[in-house]
Amino acid sequence: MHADGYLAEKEKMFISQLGNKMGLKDEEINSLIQNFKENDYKTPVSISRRYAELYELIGMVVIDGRIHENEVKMLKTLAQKLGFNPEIIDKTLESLNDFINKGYHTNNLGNDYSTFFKTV
Amino acid sequence: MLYEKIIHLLRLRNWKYQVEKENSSLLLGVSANYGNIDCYITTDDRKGFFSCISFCHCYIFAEKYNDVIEFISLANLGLNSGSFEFESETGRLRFKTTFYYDEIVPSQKILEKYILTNLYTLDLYTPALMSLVYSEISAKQAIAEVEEMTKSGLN
Repeated sequence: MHADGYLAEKEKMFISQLGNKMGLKDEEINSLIQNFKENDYKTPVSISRRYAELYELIGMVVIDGRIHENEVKMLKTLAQKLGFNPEIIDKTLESLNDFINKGYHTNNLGNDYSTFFKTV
Repeated sequence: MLYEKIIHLLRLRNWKYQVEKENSSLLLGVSANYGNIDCYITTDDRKGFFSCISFCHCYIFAEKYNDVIEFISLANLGLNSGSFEFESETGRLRFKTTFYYDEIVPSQKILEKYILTNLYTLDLYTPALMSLVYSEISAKQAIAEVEEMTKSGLN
C-alpha cells in the first residue's frame, strides 16, 4: 500500500487474480481497483475476527485448487499486517489441500449457529 | 441401531465419511466456517453409548502448550455440554461430547443436534484458538473474544 492509500502493483495483481477466481468480470475488477481507498477497510479490533476474515480470504484463494506463489506471499504479508505469525498461512493451506485431496471439502457445516447457541 | 441412524443422517446431508470400525465407528471430515474438522463418531449399542470427538486442524507449537491448556480450562468452565481436551503427546486439541441411551434410541432430529452441536462448538472456538497460537493474544483475551463474537453475531 502506498502512503497515499492507493494500491501497489502487486496488490492490484492479487486483487485481479482473486477477482478472476471469484468469476468477476474484468470491468468489475478494474472498478474495484480504481475505487479502492485504504480507509474503506476497517481492520477489526478483535484478533479472532481478523482471523475469520483472513480464513475467508484464504478460502477465496484456494477456490480453483491452484495457488500461485505471489498469492501465498501476499497472504503472508496480510497475515503479518493483521498481527499473525505468517506460518498460519502455510498450515492453513496444508489443511485445506489435505481436505480437498480426501474429498471432504464438500462436507460443509453451514453457519446456522443461532439454532444451537441462543445464548452463551 | 444408532450406527445405522447416523449413516442415514450423513447420507441425507450428502456428507462423505469413512468407516473406521464396522458397525461402531466413523470418521468424517467437515469443512467448517473457520477451519477443517476431523470428527470421529462412535456408538456401542450393547453399552448404550455414543461419543463424538472432533479434532481441529490447528498445528499447535510446543511453546504454546501452556497457553492452550489455560484456554481449554477457561473454555470448559462456560460450556453446558461437552469438553475440550488437549493431547500433549500429539499437540492436538479436541472437543468431546458423549451420551448414554437405552432401548429407546434417540430420534434422528436429536442425533443431528448432538453431532452439529459438537461441530459448531469447536468451530465457534477456532478463531480464538488460532489467534492464541499464531498471535500474541493471551488465553483470557482469546476466551473473551469468543464471548464477544457470540454476542454480536458470528457472521
